[in-house]
Amino acid sequence: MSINKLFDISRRSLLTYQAALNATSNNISNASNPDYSRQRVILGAERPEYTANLSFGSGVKIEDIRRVRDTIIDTQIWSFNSKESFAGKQASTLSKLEALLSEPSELGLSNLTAQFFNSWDKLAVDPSSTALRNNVLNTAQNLSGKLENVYEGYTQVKDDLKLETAQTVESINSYLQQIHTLNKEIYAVKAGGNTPNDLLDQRGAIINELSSLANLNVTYNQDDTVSISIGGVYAVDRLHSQTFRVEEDSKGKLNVMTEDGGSKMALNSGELSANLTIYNKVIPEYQQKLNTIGQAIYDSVNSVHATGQTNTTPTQTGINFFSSFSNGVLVVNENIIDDPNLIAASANGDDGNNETALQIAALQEALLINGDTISNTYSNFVNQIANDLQTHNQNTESYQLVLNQLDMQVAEASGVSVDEEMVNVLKFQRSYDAAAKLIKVADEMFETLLNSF
Amino acid sequence: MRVTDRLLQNSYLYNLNTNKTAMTKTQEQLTTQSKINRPSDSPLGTNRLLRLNSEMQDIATYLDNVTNSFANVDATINAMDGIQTQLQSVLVDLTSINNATIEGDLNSFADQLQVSLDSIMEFANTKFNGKYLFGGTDHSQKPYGNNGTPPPEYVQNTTDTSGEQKVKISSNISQKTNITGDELFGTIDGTDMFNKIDTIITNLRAGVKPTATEVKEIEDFSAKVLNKLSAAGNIKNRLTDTEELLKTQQLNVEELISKEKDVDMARAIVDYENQQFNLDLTYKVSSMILPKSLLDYL
Repeated sequence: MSINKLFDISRRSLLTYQAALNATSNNISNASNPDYSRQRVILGAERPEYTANLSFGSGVKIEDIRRVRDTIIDTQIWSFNSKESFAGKQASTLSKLEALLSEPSELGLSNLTAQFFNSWDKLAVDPSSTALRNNVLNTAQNLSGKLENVYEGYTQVKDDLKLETAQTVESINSYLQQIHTLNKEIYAVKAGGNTPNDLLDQRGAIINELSSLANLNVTYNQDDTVSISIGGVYAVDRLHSQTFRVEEDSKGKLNVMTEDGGSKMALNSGELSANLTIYNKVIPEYQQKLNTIGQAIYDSVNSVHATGQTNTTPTQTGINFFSSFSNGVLVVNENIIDDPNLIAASANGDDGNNETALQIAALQEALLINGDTISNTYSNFVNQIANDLQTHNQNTESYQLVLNQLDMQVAEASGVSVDEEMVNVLKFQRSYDAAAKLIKVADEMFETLLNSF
Repeated sequence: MRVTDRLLQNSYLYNLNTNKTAMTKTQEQLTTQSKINRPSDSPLGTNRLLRLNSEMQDIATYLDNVTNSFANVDATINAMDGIQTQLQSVLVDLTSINNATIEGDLNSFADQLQVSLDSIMEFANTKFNGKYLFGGTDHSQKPYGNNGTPPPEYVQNTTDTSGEQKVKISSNISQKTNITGDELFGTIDGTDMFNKIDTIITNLRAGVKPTATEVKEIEDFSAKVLNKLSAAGNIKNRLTDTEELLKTQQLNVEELISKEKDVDMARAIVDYENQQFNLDLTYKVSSMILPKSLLDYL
């Protein structure tokens, strides 16, 4: 046992506490980095020396710089991320669809339909009046304009979704590539016996992004790499990463599949899933409803109108009020627009007879669509969109609440507390001071020894 | 519990966001004065609102119809009043003819009767707002005319004067708003008012006085016109009643709409002030707590 040992222990202390201060400063500098997990310095005793049945401690060493992270919470966050973004994306898209309806206002289809049918009631008061005939035409054109506008708007949203889906799949591919690279790096660091703390944080952040796009299944491997499958399809591990693409099938439905077309993603949450659901199911269903309403107006008005007589000399009959209807486009007969007297308000040809006009006006109350009136069918449709939207809004809110709680938990466990780190700085600094002092003591001991001869 | 800086920041941001979301909502309600600005604000409320709005439109249309019909009915009543006055004067003349004291120039009586008959014809062909009041639903030509070749001299020009002008005044009631020529004058075949008076005139000019039967027939015509006058009065009353009813309905529906979507302003303002106070408090507290750390005391 020599004085040298004293130097040894002190030197080791100096290095250890310096390293500990480094780790602490890394924590402090990352205090505002949301992806960072704090790293704890684990100090341990160096192997003791055994001499003459006595064990002499050999000082301190850094056992580990441990990343504090709860992987169970991570998995939960990813799962709720998918759900939250699924609901959120649906809500934001549905609110676009909702806005296109401009309900409840004077400009909505509900009001315009009522105006159209009421214009026939008004015409009935004075069937030969050109002003009232023009009023019927105006309201018909307003109605068909709005219907087309809504229908076209929905198609536009659908087209946008298609583009967006392609971009989302691109992002997924890029994230998968990054995860693949990080997996390899983590494997290499780990194999070298080191802890890849910051790489794990980086990868966690990317998986986080990925989880908001689609529902993932993440498996941790022994070597700290992860294997991820998306929508039941293998996506990435240490050795490979998959590339996905979007394809529209013959029925006009979008599918996300592997590059070789081998497997299709079965998505149930995440932004991508929301896009596909709205593109494949929601908008076609809504457009179908609009078509049903448009078709009912087209059929019913035409069938009554064709039985009526025009206000021309000689009177004509068998004229259609609307010339065509398809895909939301309701076209008012061009000839009638040119000559409003071709509106058939009369049942017997008398210019004062209004029976046909009254019959058309009565269509408003008629049970034309599955035993319901046109306006009821429409307000049920609005109600459906509103309910869907409200559900998704509420889901988004509740998932956000859960995510917020989970984030809090992560922040609580893995977040950096500046106070705590400052205490550590003081602690390590004091230890460093003490170790330095010890060197001085050892030096003085040497000096005493040397001077005594 | 381990409190970290991120934890504080997160919860601060979350609370701030919650506050501001609530404020945005209240602010929108205050500025639009409407609780329902998009269907998803209240799906059920929107459904009701759409229904009430279209009810409102219907009522407005019916009210329009009633108002427009009033003028028509008034014109009809005036025309019938005119006919009735002329028939009364015809009856006075007929009584005078049979009165021995003024028995004399039958021709001048014939002239007077002719004036009355022309006047009645004029009323029968009254055109109002582009429509012949007693032409039924055919307004293409004068319903009655004189073809100058007896008998009968007076004819009906339009084939059918029985068309009823029906106007919708509620979702399932269509009100007839005209008195048809057919109802008032019957078939023009010689037994009608015009030709009967014409026959009396012709007879007078030939020196023949009207018979008691003929006088009775004119009295019957007069009674019929009176009868139709009261029918038209009924139509008018019906329209007035309906107008009242529709106006009450309009008020009711307006009230329902208001209940569904109007914002309780006092409450919204108090809410808003409360939220603003909360926001201020959040700012203040966070500005006091967030920047603090052990560093400040080292």
